Amino acid sequence: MLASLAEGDKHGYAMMEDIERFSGLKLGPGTLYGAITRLEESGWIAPVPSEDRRQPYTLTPVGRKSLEQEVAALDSILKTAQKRLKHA
Amino acid sequence: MKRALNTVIFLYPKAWRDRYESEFRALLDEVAPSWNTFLNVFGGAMRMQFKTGKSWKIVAACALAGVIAGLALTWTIPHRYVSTAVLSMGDIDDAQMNAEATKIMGRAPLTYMMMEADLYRDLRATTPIEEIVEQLKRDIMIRPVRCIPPSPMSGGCTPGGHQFTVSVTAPDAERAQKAVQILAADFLDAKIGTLIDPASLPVSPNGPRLSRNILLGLGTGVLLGSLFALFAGLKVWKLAAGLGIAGAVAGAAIAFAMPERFASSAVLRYDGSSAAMGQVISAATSDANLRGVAETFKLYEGESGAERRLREHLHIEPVGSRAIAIRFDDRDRYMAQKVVADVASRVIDQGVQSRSELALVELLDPASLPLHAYSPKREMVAGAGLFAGLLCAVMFGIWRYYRTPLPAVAAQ
Repeated sequence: MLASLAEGDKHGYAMMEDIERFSGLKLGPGTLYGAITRLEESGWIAPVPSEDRRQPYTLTPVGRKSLEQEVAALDSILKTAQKRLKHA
Repeated sequence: MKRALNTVIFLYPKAWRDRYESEFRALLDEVAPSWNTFLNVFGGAMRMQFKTGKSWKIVAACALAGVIAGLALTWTIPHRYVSTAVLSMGDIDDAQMNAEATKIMGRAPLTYMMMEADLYRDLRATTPIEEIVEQLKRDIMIRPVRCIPPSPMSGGCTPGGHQFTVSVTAPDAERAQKAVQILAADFLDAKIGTLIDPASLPVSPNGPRLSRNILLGLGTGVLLGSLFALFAGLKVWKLAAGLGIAGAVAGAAIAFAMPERFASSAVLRYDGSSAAMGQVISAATSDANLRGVAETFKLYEGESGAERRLREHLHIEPVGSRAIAIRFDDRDRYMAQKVVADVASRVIDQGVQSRSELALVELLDPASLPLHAYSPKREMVAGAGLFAGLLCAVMFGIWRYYRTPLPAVAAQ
């Protein structure tokens, strides 16, 4: 979800479609809003004003930093795995 | 499915709904409704309830209380022992067997058995014998043997044939055994059976069952806890308590204001075809006969169609294959008994007149004198009042929730 919002502000349905597109993971509405609740409580995402009933969310600076750390950790794991696969 | 999805949102905690409901509904409007979506939203609601902890704690506390109550029930309920004897029916058919069993299960033989085996000693000091006999009937089990294992080692079984078991449940092993011995002796005296296996002396109690009581307590606790959690979620605690009590009191008041009705019953045994007995009953309860009964006891005086009114409260139904029960209810317990006795004597007289078709019509259990009213069922009416009160509180909570405008998220 953080990766999805890194591209720009999105509402719930747009996030679901985007996540399915780039990860192949189809989130249900219950799962999505469970995650939105947790991420908002952690201060990683925040709602942005909207005229629509659909509520868009944006990535906060704290959320962006967390995402960067997470991606860096994953990147390190990925590079190590690739290196070891080449030597195997 | 759309409606179900919109309803299941209601299972989310109120605080969550206050914040997210509007946008969540907007999302659900865009998602294709399916069972998967429904289950996902339902699961999300449950997870959120668990996360907030309040409802979960209420349900858990009630479940724990239910388990403790189940344990307490197991320790406070006196032990029950079951003794069993096995008999063979010999050459008689099922109809004869039923007829004899009905006779043996009559009030007089069961009262004798109760006294001899010293059953219900404490209850006999406070409760009418007729009521205890009804309780005793529930504690007696006569069942055909479906399967006989040829030996404990082989584990196989052969059909039970003409064998049947007689069991009695009693507070101690010796009294249960004594009662079964008396019952088995009755069957032997009636020459409808031979004893295969004498009355057993149970070594361990059959109940109360610990696991069953714990499960029952747990289930009841979870159910009540969910109900309380619902009240808490809707913030209608006080209203539910108030309306529940008011409903129960109103129900009890209505039940006490309703006139009591007493039901008397008698059992007749007959030998012959049920069709012939049906004709006898029709003749004995003809309009002219019932008019006669009404006139004798001055029933429904000043009202038209006395025989029709009497017929509404008179019930005659088969008991087993060779017996009938006559039941009549009235506001006067003595009147109920008199009418049943009179109708029973008319049926017997009619049976005597048609002797060629019916070999015998005899009184097995005389008309009982009801001591307690069978109607109104005050506990049930009060319970219905309680339920209606709680339901009103829930309905009000839902109505209030939908009436209250949601906070505007866009302003954040």
